[in-house]
Amino acid sequence: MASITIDQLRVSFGDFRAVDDIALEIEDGAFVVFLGPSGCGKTTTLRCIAGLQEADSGSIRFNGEEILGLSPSARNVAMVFQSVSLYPHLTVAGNIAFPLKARGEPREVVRRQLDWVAEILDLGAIMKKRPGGLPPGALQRVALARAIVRKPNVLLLDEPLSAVDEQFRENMRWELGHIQRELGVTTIYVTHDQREAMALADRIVLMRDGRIEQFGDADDLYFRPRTAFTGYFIGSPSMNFFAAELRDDRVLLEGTALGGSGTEGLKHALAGREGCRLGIRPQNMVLSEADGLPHLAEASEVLPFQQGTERLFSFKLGERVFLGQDRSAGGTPEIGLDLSRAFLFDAQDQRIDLAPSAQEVAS
Amino acid sequence: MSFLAIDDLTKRFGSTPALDGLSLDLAEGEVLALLGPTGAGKSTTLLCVAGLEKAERGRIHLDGRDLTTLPANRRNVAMVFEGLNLFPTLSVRQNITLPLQAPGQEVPSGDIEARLKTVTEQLRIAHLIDRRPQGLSGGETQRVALARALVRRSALYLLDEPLSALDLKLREDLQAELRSLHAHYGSTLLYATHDFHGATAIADRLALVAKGKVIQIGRLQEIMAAPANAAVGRLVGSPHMAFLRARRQGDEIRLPGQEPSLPLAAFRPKAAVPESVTIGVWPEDISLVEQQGFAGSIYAVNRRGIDKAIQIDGDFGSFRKAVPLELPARQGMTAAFSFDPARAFLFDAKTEQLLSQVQHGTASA
Repeated sequence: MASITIDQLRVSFGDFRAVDDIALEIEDGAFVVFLGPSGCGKTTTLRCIAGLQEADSGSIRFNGEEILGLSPSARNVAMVFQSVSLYPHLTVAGNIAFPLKARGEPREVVRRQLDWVAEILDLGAIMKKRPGGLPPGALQRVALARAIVRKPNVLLLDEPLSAVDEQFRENMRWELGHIQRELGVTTIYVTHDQREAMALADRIVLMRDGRIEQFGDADDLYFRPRTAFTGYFIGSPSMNFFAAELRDDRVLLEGTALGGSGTEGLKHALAGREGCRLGIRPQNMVLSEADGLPHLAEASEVLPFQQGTERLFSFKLGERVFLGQDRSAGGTPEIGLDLSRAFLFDAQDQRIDLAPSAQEVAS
Repeated sequence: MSFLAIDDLTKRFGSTPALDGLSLDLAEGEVLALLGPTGAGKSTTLLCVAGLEKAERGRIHLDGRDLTTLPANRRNVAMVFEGLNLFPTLSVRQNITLPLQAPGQEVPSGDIEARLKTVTEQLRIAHLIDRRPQGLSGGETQRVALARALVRRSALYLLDEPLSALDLKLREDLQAELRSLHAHYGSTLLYATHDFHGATAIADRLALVAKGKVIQIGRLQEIMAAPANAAVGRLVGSPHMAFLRARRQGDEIRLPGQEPSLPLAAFRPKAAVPESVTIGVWPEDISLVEQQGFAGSIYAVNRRGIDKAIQIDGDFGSFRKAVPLELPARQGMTAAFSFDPARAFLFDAKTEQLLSQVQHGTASA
């Protein structure tokens, strides 16, 4: 097991800089998720750690020792891919024991490790079976067992759940979270699915265009996004963004006046600025009868709908569509904005503090 | 009268039944989601409606016409597949407008341009119309395929996991677009998916599909108030229904090794109750309590953003429930919970059939 320190890591493919001066500190035993859209550099960074990709420059250290010059096998990392590849002619036990036997471990050690991993991953009933007839969930567990049986420094998982259907995926997500905390092995997990990242991670590395957009725990990214991109990428349904400006001492969102009291902090922050956007999650924008929140004076096509067990609504300002939560009860509702949970972003998409006291949301 | 009526559709692939007497009805302008696991028969159903597969038995009526033996091109339905099927040698424009030039469906060329403009603007692909499919991203390709289906004013649109291959964020954006397209055109949609969230984001009603049959059909609230069997509970909810293994001892129901026992009458039994039962409760109807209640331990914790979900394990099995972020919950901690049997359902542990009476019209959750 190891802590990981990444410094000024850079990888280029021709003119394209896939990883652009990344620096990162990962604690021993942590579950870290590299999250971001396709092409953000998350998989390339993972492959550098595994030794499957050469870096242009920079450094990666395990427990303080440089590993970039080492061969993949000398790094003692274990990697699990999207597609599971097991030896069909070996039993489950044979497959899992393979890396230990290849390393020439004595028989008692192999047996002890097999017992340990079978217990943790609940494989007892299938140890003597061949992979051929096993369901996909069992195959994933066997692949994971083979990866962890030799007690790697680091466990690397590259979108291991992206090819499976929703129910199985959710079950595996719970299993993986549980197992990682039981094992305590430093784990890096790559995904584009923010739900997976939120669910599993001690720390999330949100990446964009080869750089780290924000590094923190789930609450940091959800409640304290530093940029509009983080605000948008984290959370579901996605954060709404309104073009915001101050005109004649009134706040205009997409050109529509924000009425009611409680807008002073926002006015103050908007004064003298241009090109700002107000970000607010659908959970914090509420269709209801007089809740005292600042409200939008006019909106068109207000359409309530059900999503799962939640009541949501959509509306239009100009040509753009926004989402909020529907708590209306038959009266004449207004669209209220909980500004204490809203974020203001400047023209460079960086967050501006509204009123510091109101921004700190208890969590 | 129903707009689309599928009655007793049956089909085998080799010896495996793909559809086993599947029936459903759809009103005009309605969006119905076929929700079920992979292999349940969702795609086969859509293919039969489109005329691309032949059923061995059963009838399909659309707007009063019997489609069952009509060839695909005379059915007036449009389909978007999971595996995309754009023509690589044609431009995006040609791919989208091709269906409008099909024999028997020719549209005047002025009209073609107008429709192309509307649909490409709506799906935000207007800037791509002169490009070829291979240079497009996954999301763009997906939108072009949707545009091609929507540009034909079809009586019925069949969407087979049209968004499943996309990044989560893109998927959510496109769900919103599909919803507003539907609000705009009032089209009738049959939408197959294995994603509960995706299904409820788009559909008015859900048809739950398992093993080639519709096991229940209705609005989400109706289904939650009266789940037909335990399989329904597994397909619905986020997290899905909690199932607790229990035994009937005389007039009481007991969780293994747990106190107190619950009076059988509180579960509103409508038939003889066997010894081995499963209690089904929607997670929203389970409360975590400080003392007393049933005991379990926290298997894992998943953050979800504004809240988090925990999995509680015990001799009764395991279940998951959303809880506030503030609730102290860590893997390995003990947890006590309780629920009101009047809001729970009793299932036969073997047959999974519902043993409780349900009050229609009272929504759970």
